[in-house]
Amino acid sequence: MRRLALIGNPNIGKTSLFNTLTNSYEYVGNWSGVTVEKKVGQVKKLNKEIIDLPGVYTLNPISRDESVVTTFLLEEQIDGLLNIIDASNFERNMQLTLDLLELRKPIIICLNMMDVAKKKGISINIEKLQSTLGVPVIPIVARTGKGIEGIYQALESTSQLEQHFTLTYDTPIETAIATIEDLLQNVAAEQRRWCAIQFLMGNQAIDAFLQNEGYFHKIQTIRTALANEIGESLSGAITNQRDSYIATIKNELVIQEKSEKQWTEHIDKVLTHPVLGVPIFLALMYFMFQATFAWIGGPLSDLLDRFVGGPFSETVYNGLTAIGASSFIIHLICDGIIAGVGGVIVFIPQIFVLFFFISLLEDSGYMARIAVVMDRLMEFFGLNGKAFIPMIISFGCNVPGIMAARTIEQPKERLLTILVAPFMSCSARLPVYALFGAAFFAKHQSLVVLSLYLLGIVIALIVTKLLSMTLLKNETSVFFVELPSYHMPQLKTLWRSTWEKGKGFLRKAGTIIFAGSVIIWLLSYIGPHGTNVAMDESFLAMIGGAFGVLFIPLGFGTWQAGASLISGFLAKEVIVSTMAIIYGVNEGVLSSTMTTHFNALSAYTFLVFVLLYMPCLATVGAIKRETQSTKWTLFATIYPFVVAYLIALVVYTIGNLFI
Amino acid sequence: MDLHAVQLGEKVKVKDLQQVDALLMKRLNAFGIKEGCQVCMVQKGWFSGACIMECQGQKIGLRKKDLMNIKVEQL
Repeated sequence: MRRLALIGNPNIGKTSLFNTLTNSYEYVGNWSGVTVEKKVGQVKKLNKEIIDLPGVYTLNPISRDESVVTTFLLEEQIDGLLNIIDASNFERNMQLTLDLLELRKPIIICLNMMDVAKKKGISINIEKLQSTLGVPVIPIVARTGKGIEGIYQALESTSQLEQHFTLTYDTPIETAIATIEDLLQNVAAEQRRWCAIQFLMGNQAIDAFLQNEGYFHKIQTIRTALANEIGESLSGAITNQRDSYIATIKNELVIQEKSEKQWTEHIDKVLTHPVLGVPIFLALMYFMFQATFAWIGGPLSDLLDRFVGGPFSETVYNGLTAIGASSFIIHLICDGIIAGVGGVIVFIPQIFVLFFFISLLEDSGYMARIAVVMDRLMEFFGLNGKAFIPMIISFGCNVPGIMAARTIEQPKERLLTILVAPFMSCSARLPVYALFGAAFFAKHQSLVVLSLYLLGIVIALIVTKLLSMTLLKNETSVFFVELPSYHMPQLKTLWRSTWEKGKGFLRKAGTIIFAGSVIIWLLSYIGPHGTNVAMDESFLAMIGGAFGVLFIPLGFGTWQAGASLISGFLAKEVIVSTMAIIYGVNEGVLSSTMTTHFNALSAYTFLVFVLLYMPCLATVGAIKRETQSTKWTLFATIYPFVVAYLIALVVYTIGNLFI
Repeated sequence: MDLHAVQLGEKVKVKDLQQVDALLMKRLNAFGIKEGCQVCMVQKGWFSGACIMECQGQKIGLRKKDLMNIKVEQL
């Protein structure tokens, strides 16, 4: 076995196992048709690679990203499967395992969560399970790495293993399977039975795979005839027979004793409490922001800022002068690149802290509880509780937020979520708030930032309500969330997912923000009357001025604001870079310089506008990939501008009445 | 009786899933929730909010309107 696929139910430690087994991994693009990232890792010590498949309950998909798994098994060459199952939830997990056993590929079953099972009073006769199913079964605790050695051994020893698992169904079903098998000439001989069974169960991914074959009509007729003959749904009939098989195994091999009451039960009672749940959630969010801005991230950012603005730029300046660089180069590097990229880089500590907490929420199992607690509210606005998760992730970055919308089964709800997720204030907008907050609202910075986050949520909900009543009238909606048991997230997994999310930001700093800084600096350096002109006479001032006129009613109709908003489309952080370049100072002094162009009210209005006005380039790309529709992508890009303008106008007008 | 009418902490047996939405039915089946299995209401949302129920040691969140389509009987 050289290429293996790791497959299992969601939330049962698949990622932990993947991280433990592999020392390095890479993203190799996306799964075809959807944007679930395809992750391939190298197995430690062995020359094998593991492909991480999205978590599914069965091979019969009900949403787009679930169909990836079946399509993968049909189309790609793999030598074996690693099936991770949750020992504490044997019956449910066996459903998928039977689906996989019928595929007749070499398979190793990793019986995970042996510790949890033990606490629940469950013990499984592993040897007997192994001989019943005819495949290796390895007990493990993926989180601590216990038992992993067994997987390595199994991987090495079963290289030639063949597997002939057959579960015999009732005669009419078997007859149909045999007839279909004979027709499936384009499918590998070993997999025909599996393919036939999945087809009978109404697996849409199989239908899609076979529908262009000449015999498709024929097998469809067989399926309909069989359903009529047995008088119930085929998937129901097949599942029932599998269930009784699973029940037999369970009775023989699994012993359930009285379980200890788990301490998390009490916590869960409080966290999901219908009344207390919401304030607890808000308090946790507040704690998260405090840690990000005030306790950990903020101070670290200040340190970094002092370093970049002080010793670092001085050293570079002196170095460049010493080697006799031209003044153009010195200006480009010091005023353009260091000011622009540095102005954004200093926010990295805050962004990583925020991502760390979001990963913590995801990994601990609390995120699913939030979906339940928030469902009633979200339902009112035409969404379901699951839409809350993409929104929270969007606080980190809109791109993974939009991708997280894939867990929502209903296409219209998913589209709605994608359309409003960019209103969630992502971490890239944070530098802008931090900059203006320090300049105008030094005493109430946290409050101002919190108000913007809340405004983002409120606007998103209102827009959702309006859209769901007009453009996207909702069909019936399905809400189903699994609440995985709580567990202490593993530090390595936490770090990996924090890094996964944060590295995109670093990459942006090296590419878009770097390029943006150079272009903006050049535009500010060149004017109609030559180079090294006064900033007011540069091309940047002309372009910004033309755009800035739009914002006179909002109180910030300067060319500086106009220019930075245009560049902010590249990435929201570039707004800060642009301002740092325009005002030609490093960030420390930037705050005081800005007070000549803004007052407290217009500064707040500006922040409101920045919060809402347009998804950044990367987000637009994600929306295009997810919706696969140019029309909706254009809509998602343009309508927030209108919304932002209206809201900012309201804020500015009302504010003026009081000031 | 429908599942939503069950008291907190009371264990009941699922009797009929005919009225449940087809998509949701697939998911419920994958979770081992089908006619004859035992479920328990763990938490009820206010203002007809989503409820949490337990089945074979696993917890799931469902909406009131779907719970009302699941017919159950007392043990």
